[in-house]
Amino acid sequence: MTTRLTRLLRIAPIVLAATFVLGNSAPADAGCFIALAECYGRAAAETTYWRSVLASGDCELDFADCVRRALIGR
Amino acid sequence: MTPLFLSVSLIVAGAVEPLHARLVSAGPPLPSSLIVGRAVCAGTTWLLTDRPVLIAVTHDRRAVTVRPVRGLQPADRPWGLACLTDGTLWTLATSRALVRLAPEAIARERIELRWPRLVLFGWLDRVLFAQLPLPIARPILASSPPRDTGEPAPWPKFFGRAAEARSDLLARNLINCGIGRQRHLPCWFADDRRVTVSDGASARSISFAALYGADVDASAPIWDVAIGGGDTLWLLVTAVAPSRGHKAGGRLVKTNREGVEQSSLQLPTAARTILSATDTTCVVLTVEGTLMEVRSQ
Repeated sequence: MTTRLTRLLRIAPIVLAATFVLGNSAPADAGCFIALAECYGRAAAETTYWRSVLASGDCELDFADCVRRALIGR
Repeated sequence: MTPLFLSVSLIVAGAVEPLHARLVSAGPPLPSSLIVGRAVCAGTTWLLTDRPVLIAVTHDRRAVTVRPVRGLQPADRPWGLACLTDGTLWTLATSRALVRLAPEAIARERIELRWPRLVLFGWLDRVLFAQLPLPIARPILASSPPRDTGEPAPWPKFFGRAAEARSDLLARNLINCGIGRQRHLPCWFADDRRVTVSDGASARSISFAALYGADVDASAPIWDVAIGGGDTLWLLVTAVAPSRGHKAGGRLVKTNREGVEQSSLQLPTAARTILSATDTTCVVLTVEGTLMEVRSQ
């Protein structure tokens, strides 16, 4: 029970961040948003809180790369 | 060698002078992989693709050289290309790594950045970039010498735009820059109908009536821009219908420096990017990988 609660507390910030980023948005490129959601899922499954936070930061950089390729890549 | 010629002319009602297009490349088509950077300097246009491949097109003979980029790290995904006045080429190998490419397409120098960068262009002897996290209502573009990791100089007129969701923040603030001339560089927000030409200290915005037509992709109306000479701008308008599954420029418009249309041409083949421009000539790369020259005389 304690383990489950600890895990829930650990991933809560990631879930909130994902909700904030994905919520109420007009997709620039649908594929980028799907990849971002999957990336956040992997980040939340990291073994420690700080690893989750760092992984979610990488998710946002990957998302930025995806969006710029979709919108201003030629 | 059999030259490829396709000559098209179109006289638009009210236009001052007709534009004529013809294919000028005789070699194999340029690679079709996504172009992630374009830079112009010293009579050559450089293109960087996501393969990654570095392409050089000379302005005088339109000679094309294609070289795979070597010396990058396995996780690198290059973005952006800047060619500075000393002839050096720079790209973002990752958001946090600025890499100098030799003309032979070899990574020669790597500078780790404190903050990630979203876009990269060249201006005189400086790199021009947008840094993450994106600021709201403050200058979003800044320039600095490539090896200077100190405080960059803000670029005028581009202020971070707010968005309801953080993800939209990126899309709303993506900036592209065209081909400049001397100190003047044209840049625009990807979803905007105005181009801002700046010399790094002052800036003026230019609107184009040509961007309000039914054939224009309203989500990203400006596909590319080049300053041709003292009084000429070339505007590549994004077509509504994609070509080969991708957005592309469908119409090329020649305007004066105020954005007033002089002439316009529906391109016989859609264009991926402008390669070079003068007052009378604009060379584009088509979606078929060929070079097309559009002349106004």
